[in-house]
Amino acid sequence: MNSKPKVIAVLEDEELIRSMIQINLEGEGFQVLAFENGEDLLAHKEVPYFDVFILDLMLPGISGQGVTIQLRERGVHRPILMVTAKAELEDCVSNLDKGVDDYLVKPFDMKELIARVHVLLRRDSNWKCPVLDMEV
Amino acid sequence: MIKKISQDLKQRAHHFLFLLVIICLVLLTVWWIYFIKRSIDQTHHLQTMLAEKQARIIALEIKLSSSPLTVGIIKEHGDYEITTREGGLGSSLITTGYYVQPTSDYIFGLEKERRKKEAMVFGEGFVFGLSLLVSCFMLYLYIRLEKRSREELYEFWNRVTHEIKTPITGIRAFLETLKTGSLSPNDLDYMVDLALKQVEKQQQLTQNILVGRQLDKGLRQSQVEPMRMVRFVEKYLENHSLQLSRIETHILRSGLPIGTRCQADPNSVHTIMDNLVDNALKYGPKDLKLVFSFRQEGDLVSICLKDNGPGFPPEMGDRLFDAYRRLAGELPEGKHGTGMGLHICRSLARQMGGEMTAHSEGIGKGASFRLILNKIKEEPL
Repeated sequence: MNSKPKVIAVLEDEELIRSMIQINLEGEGFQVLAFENGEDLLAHKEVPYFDVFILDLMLPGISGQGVTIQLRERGVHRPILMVTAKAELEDCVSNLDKGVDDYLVKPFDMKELIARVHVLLRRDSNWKCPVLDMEV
Repeated sequence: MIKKISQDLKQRAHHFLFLLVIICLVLLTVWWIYFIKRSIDQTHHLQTMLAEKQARIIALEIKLSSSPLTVGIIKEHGDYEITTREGGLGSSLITTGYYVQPTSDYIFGLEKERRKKEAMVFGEGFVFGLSLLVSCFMLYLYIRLEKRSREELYEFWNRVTHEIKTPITGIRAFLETLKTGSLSPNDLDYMVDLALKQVEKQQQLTQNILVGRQLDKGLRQSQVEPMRMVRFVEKYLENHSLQLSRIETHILRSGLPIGTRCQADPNSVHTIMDNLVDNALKYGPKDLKLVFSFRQEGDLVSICLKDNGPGFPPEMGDRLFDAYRRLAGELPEGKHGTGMGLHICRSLARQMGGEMTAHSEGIGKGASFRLILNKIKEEPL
């Protein structure tokens, strides 16, 4: 039985990077929705159903960090992979604090990006909503 | 909350340090004044005691000599007098009804000397304190300026890093994808064009960094020669047809008589054009229109590039040319760029003996950038 492909949202303003990520992830069997700016991504009605978000940090308009904050505020807890040129520890920590799950510094290897997406999906599938077990 | 407060405190550390230094300096000055004032008081007290003792000695001497007593200043001791009044400062009995005491002039002199010393100490203390405060304030201004330029430089290198890494990431991803063979022939041509654009961006950034450094160090010299600007702009647009393929460009030649030439360095003008066009592409809308126009004003020729981009507040025109600065909060957020392009443009224009200006009617009303160069006076045939 064929399972439904995982949906990945890619937010990147540079067309070449965006297209390459899309082509490579589609090659892995994912369904990819690519966005040029944060406003378009946040306005998409399927946002709560995306399985992984790949966000660039520095974007025109709302930044990748801004998108992360809004997603978390809306109760979207799916994994977010931040892709950025900023390599400083402070930037990394600040983004992780805001709700980012993983951090990849540009320029990155496409294989590494794909591997990280798999890890995030695997981790996400093991995650279960905490339920209080009570024996009555 | 606590983390935010601690971050705020950390950021304002130099303010607190400055305040602490000022308090210390004020306390030091007050203590110094108090210390000197105390020693002046002690000296005065000692002098008064000495005057009293001296009066007693003189009284004893007079008593022993048994000479007749005359009220008035004592000849041998000019600062003392014999008086019939008891109770003055240092008054000492000689015999019933006659006393020796320092003259009022002498006492007044001692008091005057004390006041003079006090005034001197207060004056010196004030000048000392003031000079310390002024030096401290200058130091504070210097530290603040240093801190700001360090932050600006840090921001600048952050932007440069981003500008370098982004095209590399795109090109690398493209080559990796190409290697895997997952690009369809239809996609390939388009992606090659995108990759070439990234290479051009990288090339321009490298050029800007090199030119910027040469200009800062005074190593770059303009090689001016006669140039036909209309022809140059036409050729430039031809050579950059790929980059400008999606936008509308117009050249209005009418403002300049045919054959007008000006003094310019082709390489510098090329760099200026690259930066102006790149800025227009970066900040402009999707339906970007670029209009090149020319004008002759006396001995000057101006080349104007007008766009329908986001524009800027009219009063900000000159600040756009500041080194390593982008108008934070006043320009579209998140747009990439190093902030050195326009600074380079103006520096290059000035090196050629010209000028570079920017004008906009306001946000959302487009902008025009004018390069002004010296016209070559053509000799009549």
